[in-house]
Amino acid sequence: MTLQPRHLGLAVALHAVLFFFILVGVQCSQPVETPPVVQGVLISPNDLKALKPPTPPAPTPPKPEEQDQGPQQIVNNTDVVADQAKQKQEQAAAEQKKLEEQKAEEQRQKEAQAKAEEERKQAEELKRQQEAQKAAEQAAAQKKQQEEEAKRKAAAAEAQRKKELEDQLKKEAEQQQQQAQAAAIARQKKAEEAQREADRRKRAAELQQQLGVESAQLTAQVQNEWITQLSAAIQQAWAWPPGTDPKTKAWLKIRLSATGQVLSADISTSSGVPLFDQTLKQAAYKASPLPLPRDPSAFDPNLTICFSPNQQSCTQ
Amino acid sequence: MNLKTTLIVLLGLLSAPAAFADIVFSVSSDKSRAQPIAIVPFVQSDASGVDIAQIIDDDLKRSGMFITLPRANMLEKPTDIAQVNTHNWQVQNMNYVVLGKVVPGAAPGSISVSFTLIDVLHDTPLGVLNGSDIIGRDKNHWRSAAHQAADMIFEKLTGIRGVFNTQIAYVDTTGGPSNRKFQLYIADSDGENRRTIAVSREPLMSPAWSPDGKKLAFVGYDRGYSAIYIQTWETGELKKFVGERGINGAPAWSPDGRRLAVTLSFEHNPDIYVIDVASGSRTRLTTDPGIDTEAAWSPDGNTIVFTSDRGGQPQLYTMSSGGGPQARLTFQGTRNEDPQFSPDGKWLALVNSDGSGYHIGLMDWQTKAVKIISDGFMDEHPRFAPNSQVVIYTTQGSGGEVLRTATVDGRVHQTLSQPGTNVREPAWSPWPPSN
Repeated sequence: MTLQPRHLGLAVALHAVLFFFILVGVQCSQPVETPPVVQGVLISPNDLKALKPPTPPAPTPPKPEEQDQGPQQIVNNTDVVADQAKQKQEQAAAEQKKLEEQKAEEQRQKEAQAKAEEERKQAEELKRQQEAQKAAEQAAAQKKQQEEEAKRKAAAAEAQRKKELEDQLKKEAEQQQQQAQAAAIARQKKAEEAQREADRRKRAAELQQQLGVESAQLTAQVQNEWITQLSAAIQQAWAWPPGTDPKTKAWLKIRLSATGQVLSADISTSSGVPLFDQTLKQAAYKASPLPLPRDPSAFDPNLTICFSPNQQSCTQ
Repeated sequence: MNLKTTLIVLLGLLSAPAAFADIVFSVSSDKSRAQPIAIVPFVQSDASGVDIAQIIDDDLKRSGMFITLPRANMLEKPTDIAQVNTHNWQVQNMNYVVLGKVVPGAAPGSISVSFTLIDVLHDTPLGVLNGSDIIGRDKNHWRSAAHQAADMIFEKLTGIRGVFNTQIAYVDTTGGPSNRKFQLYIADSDGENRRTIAVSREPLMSPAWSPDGKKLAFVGYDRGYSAIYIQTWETGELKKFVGERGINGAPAWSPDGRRLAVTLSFEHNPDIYVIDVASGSRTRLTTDPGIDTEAAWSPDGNTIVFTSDRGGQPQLYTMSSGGGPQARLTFQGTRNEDPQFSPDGKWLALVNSDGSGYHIGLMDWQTKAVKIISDGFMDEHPRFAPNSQVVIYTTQGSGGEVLRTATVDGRVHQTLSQPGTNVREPAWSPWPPSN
């Protein structure tokens, strides 16, 4: 809204004219009363409208003051200069007229300019408004769009969130499943490990047992031979009483010394027939010393022997 | 019997050398041996000729289950257990030693016997048998006191009740065809203490003890006619029980002693009858045209086994003691006859012939399998001892028929010394009633 130099020039000129009128206005106050020129000149509704104090350049306060003062002084001064020379008056009138015309023209131009300016301003304003509206619309649209976008985004976000949640749940489920699987695998591994360990131990035990068995088998073999010898020796010394029921049987416990001497021979399970039982003990002492195993490791000082006339009786 | 077969059964092997678990095995053998025992002469104040210890010694030896140490070989003759040095007996392989004494009993003429049985292998008295239980009330019963002692020792060691203190009835035949004499005797189981029950010029046969041992039924002839007599000891009564026309034979007491099964032929054919002893009422059990004789009662009294030649050769048949269907029982050999049940019902003794001789057989009553237990070639008339362990029968000796015993396993055979010259038809008494 800065004053253009043209406008300034016009304002200076106008002030000069008005000053002139103040000086001379006493003589020609009458003519001044008749303002047909002024009245009848090109005032259109638009001009009236334009004449109204310009609202847009409100930010230029000094200008309206000058304009208001000017006309009042002019009116006052006309009364003083009423009777001046007619020619001069006429000439002045012509000049005045010409000046006025010029001024009007200037005014008109000025107004036109102002009008144009106003129009321009209005157009600009309109345009601005339109633009503002458009911008608003645009903004609204944009906002709407944005909202929609936001909504869409929100929905998308929601969907995303849901999806993420689902994903998360799924992921968690998967994770859990994985964990469970992992745990299961771990357990299985652990079990397998335990099994392997057990197997290993079992194998070790079996191996050891096998070794033991082999050793035991060897011992057993030696013992078997020994038992055969013992049996033969004891059987040789044994005879049951005549008349004994073949089913009669009794168990004898023999304790041997390291040299095979019978240290003790006692009936552990009696036949119920002392005479029969006695033959067992008698046989043990009679057979003493008993043979020894060829491998001392197979020696056992404790023998438990079932005696019966009938071999089947002892196994029953 | 001499065949040695050793059969060893390994029951199990528990081989843990460090722990010394017992080695367990079994020994079996068919080798039997009479068991050594020493009967030390008893302390006897009365030297009246009855050597109690010797009677015991002979009883145990005769059973076949013991071998006794002759007195001459004894290293010591202790009279009290405190004097016993077990080593002296162990070195002679003795298992048991019997010490005892005989003192006069409370009643005049009676004796009281007490003794101790010692396990010299363990230096342990097995039993002190007090004389209060063994009393010979008079000289005739002094030997009986010794037999009682022998029975106690026998039962203590074998678990089987002895039969030494029992009696045997038998018939002795003397003389030739012109002066033949039949005598029915009863004697102690060792043949001693023989008493004459009946003497006849005609045959005396088939003595049979009543189950309570108080009566003896036998067959005699009176002027050519046979009859069944019953002798009752307590009263001395001799009674003709049945004397029908024809055969009156083979009396057999029912286990309850109230009836006699006999063979009668008065109805034209020898058949089995059962006669009530008290009433004399008869029941004819067989009607077969063959000879049915030699009835034997099962111990439960429900069954009678008898000999019949209805099949051509004598065989054993069985029927209810009430009569009824009869079934053949024996199929082994050519002949089977003269049955008797063992008192325990396990065996049926019989005479079996395979065509080359007569042998004593035992039928296992459960399986009906027959085994031969006698070793002669003319063995007859088997009768069980009351303990069912021994069978007495007649066999052909060098000078005539003799009495011989066999254990049911056929392992021990003993010939009874001096029962007579030609003895037949033995019958073993039941155990005497305990008094």
